[in-house]
Amino acid sequence: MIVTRTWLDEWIDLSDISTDEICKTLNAIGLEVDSVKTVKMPQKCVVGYVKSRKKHPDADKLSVCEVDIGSSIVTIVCGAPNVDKDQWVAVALEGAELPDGLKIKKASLRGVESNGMICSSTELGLPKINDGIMVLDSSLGELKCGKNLSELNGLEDDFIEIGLTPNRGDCLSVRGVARDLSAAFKRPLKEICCLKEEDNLLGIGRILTLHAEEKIKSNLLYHAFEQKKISSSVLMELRLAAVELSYEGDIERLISYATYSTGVLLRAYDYKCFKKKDEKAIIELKKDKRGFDAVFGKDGRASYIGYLQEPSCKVTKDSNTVVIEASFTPTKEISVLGAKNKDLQSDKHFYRSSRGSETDLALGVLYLWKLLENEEEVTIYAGGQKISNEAPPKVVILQMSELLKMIGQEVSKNSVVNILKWLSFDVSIKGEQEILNITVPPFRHDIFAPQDICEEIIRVIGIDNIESKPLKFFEKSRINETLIWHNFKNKIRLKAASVGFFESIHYLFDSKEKQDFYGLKSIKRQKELSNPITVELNTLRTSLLLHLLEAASNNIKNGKRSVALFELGRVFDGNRKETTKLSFIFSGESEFPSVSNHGKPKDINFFDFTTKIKHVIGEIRVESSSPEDKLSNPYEYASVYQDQKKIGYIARVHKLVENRLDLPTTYIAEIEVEKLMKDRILAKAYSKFPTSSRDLSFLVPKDMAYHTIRHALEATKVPNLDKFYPIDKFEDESLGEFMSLTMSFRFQNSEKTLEDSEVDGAIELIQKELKKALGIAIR
Amino acid sequence: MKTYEESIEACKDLNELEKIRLKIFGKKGFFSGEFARLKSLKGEEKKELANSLNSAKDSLTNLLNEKKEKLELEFINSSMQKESVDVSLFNASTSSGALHPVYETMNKIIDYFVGMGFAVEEGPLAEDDFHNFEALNLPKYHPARDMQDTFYFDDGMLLRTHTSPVQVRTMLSQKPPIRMICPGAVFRRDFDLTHTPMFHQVEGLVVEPGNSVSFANLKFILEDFLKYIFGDIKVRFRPSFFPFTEPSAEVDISCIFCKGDGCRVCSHTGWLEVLGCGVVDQNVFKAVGYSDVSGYAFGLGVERFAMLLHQIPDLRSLFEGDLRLLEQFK
Repeated sequence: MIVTRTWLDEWIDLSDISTDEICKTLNAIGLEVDSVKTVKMPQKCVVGYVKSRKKHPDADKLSVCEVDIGSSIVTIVCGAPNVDKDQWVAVALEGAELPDGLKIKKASLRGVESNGMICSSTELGLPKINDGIMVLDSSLGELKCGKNLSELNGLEDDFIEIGLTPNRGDCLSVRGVARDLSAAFKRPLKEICCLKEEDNLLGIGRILTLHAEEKIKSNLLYHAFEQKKISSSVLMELRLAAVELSYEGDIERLISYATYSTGVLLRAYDYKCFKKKDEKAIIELKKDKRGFDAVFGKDGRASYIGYLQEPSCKVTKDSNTVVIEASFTPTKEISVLGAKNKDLQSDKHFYRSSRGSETDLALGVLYLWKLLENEEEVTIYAGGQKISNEAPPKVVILQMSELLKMIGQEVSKNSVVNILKWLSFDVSIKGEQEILNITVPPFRHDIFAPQDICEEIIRVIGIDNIESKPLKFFEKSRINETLIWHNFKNKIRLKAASVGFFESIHYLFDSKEKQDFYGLKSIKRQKELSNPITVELNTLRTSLLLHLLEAASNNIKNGKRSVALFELGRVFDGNRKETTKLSFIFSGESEFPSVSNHGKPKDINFFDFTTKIKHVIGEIRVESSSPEDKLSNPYEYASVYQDQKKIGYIARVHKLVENRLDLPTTYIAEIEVEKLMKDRILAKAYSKFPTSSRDLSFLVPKDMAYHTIRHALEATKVPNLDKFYPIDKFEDESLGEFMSLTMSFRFQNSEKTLEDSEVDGAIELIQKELKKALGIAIR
Repeated sequence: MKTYEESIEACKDLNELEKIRLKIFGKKGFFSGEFARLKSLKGEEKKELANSLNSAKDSLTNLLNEKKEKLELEFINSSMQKESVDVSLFNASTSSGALHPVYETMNKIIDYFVGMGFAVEEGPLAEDDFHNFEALNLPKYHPARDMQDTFYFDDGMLLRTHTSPVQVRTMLSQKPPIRMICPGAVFRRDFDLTHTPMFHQVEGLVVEPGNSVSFANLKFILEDFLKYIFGDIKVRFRPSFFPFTEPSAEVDISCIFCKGDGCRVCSHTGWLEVLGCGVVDQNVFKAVGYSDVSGYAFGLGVERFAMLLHQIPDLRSLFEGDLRLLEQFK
């Protein structure tokens, strides 16, 4: 909503208050000022009168004009198509500097000397009103050759843009904003009054009858006038351009202007739309099939009240008789139907009617008549025809003690009454003196309850004038599972960062096509997003990895040689059930080039990556398995287990994917975070006796996975064997189809120090069992 | 005696020192010989020699030990020196991992409210119309629904447009008093320079029985909170509108960049809008079946806070996993 200072001035006298102060006040009363723009007329720009216009001898599109600028008559060459003899125009004289920086100098245009420039509205820093020069008229006050443009009415102005909240439909007009300011500044609104009475006016009843169904919910008022021509008003054009309202023709211009100024929803119809030959015109008001209040003319529906108008019923400059409709439809009626008929929401009336237009219909018409007052070729029919469906006024009962509790601070009854009166509420005090009976003005569609009244009070007294007070409350533990879960996630995040991963946050959305391409799960068809924002983000993520891969790829493209990222966030399964996952990606060099690695760090490998993951999530076991997706390299893929539960997987990225995304060696992991939450750990008794260890190298077939050996050993009860693990792998031509696998075995007893013979016995058992189970022996 | 003292003095090597020790204290060393002489002496003479030998022995032992300690230290020092590392070769730009500024800002906010006795609550991201709109005084036709472009699913569910549905769920499952915050991701169909389809909010709700909660209470906690986050700033409340609160207000802080003088960040107003808040609308309480209660609620955008606190110019950069940004938070 844009208002200008001069336009506000039509409704309230704020001449002694600075624009800055007005903006501060608007902010304070809840009408947030988004921007303020000041337009000043440049120096040496004056009113001129085009005395003659000739075509330029050497240029088709240029005109040579003799322009009276008061002190003299000068020749100006003008390129605008609409320049003509007998026009009042804005002339930038030699030496003027226009807002876009253009300096006006004498110039020769194709051999004709030009002494200045005839300006368009935009060249003067005003809103754009047409494609040519701005033609001045009496709407700007008295025009005199040579008069400075800054002395004209309404050209210099401050444009205040207000970000209106949706509840304040009553401020969707210049008068509405003025009305709120009148309460803030405690000064009255200006009244429009006293049309010139003419005796010989024809009554509207002579030409028009209304037929209305009872089901109609709207308030309606119809008037009419005859016209041959409506004079121009450049001021109106400039203001409507400033508030970005479009219209067709002079009558629509007046209607749009009056609506924007007063807030009353006005509409003009061509009388012919209702008039059958040789009969009096009938306006039929009834419910349309869809439930809208609608206007019907002789050829069917002419408009929906508060919404669309049929083009065939709109006025043109040839409409001799014009029917004016002022309407108000209860907002709920409009919004409920609007929600069902989304196509209508684009209608320019919908915004105003759904938020609540002005209810004082007569005011809108009166304002329009004032605009037409001095038109010579306009005759207004006397009286109007109306359909009244006015709702009874809303009454809110407010106890002063209730108000005190809501605000937390005493406000005197007198000031409450005073504030409400300035806001056009009617207040009467009930017997006990502490109860206010408040009648809500009809234009305040947003006020129903004491809380709403409280808001009115505090916005006028100013929230900053309320003293802050701490709340007193009873102690109660607020530590819950969510807080514990939150802290747990934070602990994991912190560990991931400590291991060298950078935390990354990505959109919850993903590309369905990519999910399919990489063989990832996707949301079931019937649970899919209906209105995605882009094709790339057209579904919900079922894994955190696609975004991490993309981010890694982009970082590599930006010249990074090593990328380590993680994200902890929610993902969805096919049924759109939410779970929390923790995903990692490590791409490229395992560490930064440095003296310790002689500037040639190795690329990350499965073991180093898995160690990092372990450092974040704790003890894990990996088992080789096969990927379900096409993202992972099937030859380096492991399921991850913790406490016997499968919690996720670790894999190298498939080489096709690495190539496709220009990634160096890249590893990924995805872990289910819920499964990481552990019960309380109970300490076990531990042996205080020394451990003995032995390393053994076995000759094993090259294709034998280590887990085969591990499983075989786990199945054997080796006395005193505390743990065992592989420590080296050696392949050589001399070993043929075999490789040498070195394992370390650690022995310990909780009761005593082991004798060498006991350890040797255990080693023998291990060898025997492996020979028996797998046919492998030491080298 | 003197010679021995001098040779200990002059010794530069632990091996050599050991040789000297043997010469003095060894089986065939000086003292063995001298003490042997005692046998042939008697009376005063013997006593005298014994005394002088003992004192010489003590003094040489001390001298040897001192020297040994000194040489050992020299040896250790020189071996350390040989292995010395030019620590300035340490590459300070090595990667070290970092947490995301949005979550870290969110945690800072959570820390404040947990410290003030608020519970932390969570809820689903995919919500239904009742929890996201209906119960929050946003019936289907309400014009305020325009304020929030919503992502819908084919089965009629939606992605929550704010974290307020968590407040509704909490009120439905618990009884007053309630004192909670709900941090989390929210979604709106908006994607441009200053809007991303996902961002994060922290919303708070306090409900007490009776009419004990006032606007003045709300003012108190938010002023205190904003000073905790942003330091020494001015706080301003402007009346505003939210369907779920009445009265409602938006909260501005004096611009932390220009101290209120006006700059590009604050659009030359001197103020930065950071919060929305209000006294909970009775219609919301009605929707969850509460009566005779009062409360306040507030909500803020975490990205906005993070961008202000860390002077991050581009909202979208927060969701790109770009190390050029993330590495700055090491």
